[in-house]
Amino acid sequence: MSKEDISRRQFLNYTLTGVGGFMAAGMLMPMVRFAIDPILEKGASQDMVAVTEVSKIGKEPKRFNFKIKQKDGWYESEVTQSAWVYKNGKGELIALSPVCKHLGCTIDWNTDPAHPNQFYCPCHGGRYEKDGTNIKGTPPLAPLDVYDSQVKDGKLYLGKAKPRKGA
Amino acid sequence: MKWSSGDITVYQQSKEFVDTAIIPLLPLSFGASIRTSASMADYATLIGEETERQLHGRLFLLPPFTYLMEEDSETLMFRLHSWVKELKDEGLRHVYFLTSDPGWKKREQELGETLLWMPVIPMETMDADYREEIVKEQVKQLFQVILHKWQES
Repeated sequence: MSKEDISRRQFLNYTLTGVGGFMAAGMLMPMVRFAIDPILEKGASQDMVAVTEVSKIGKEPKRFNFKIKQKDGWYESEVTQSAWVYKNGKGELIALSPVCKHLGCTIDWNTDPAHPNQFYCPCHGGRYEKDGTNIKGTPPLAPLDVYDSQVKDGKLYLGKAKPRKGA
Repeated sequence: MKWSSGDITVYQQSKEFVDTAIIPLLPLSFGASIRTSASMADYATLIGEETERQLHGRLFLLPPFTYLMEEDSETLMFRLHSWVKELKDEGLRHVYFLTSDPGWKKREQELGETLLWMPVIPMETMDADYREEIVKEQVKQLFQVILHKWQES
């Protein structure tokens, strides 16, 4: 019995502190987690989506489709979006949104015979330069939105389309 | 534009730019042709939505005009014509009917407006990508009709 230099009272004290500590931690942890949750949350920015291989992009704007997840109330669905992508003179990749800034029709590249090499909106004849700038005298009042873009491992990733200031 | 509160706000602000309406004509029938009428509804709805997405700013996709397949043709025509009259009064100059029901093809003359009749393609067994491609192709053809009319006016 000489080895036991711990009394019954001490033993109970230790166990109770231990168990109590766990219980307190069990209660506090979720509370702390809730309190700091907004900090841990990922940025609201939409995830980037792989669209195409960079090698497929040329100087002429080309239309690429890609899918994003869209939440509509409780219902999550995949929505197809498209982008007009090309390389500009400096070799940068430009990805333009195909949605006309006038009333939201879908624009097309080089389809108006009278005005070649422009984006053309079939609804009200809105036109944009290759870089997306709206042409004065046509209905749109702002340049086309530009997608956030990123190149990784030879692939082009696109994020959200962001508006630019009017010309 | 669609018949939804968000789009209506835009519509009211820019009425002068919207001059085209599409009415999907969807038949309803139980009994033997229940499956046919459902796939007609599917198909016309898909086509209508894709067309609206592309021509959002000038085209109004209306809620579908539904009818019983056995409905008396006199009352049917009367109902449809009163829709058209309402739309014309509102300033929508071009009215299109979009349907897969072959019944309308026979009576195209009586309609007075352009009938866009698309023979139904059963889509329920197709995978999503393929379905999308088919719808896109079909809509491209519809475009020719609508754009041509716009250029004329």
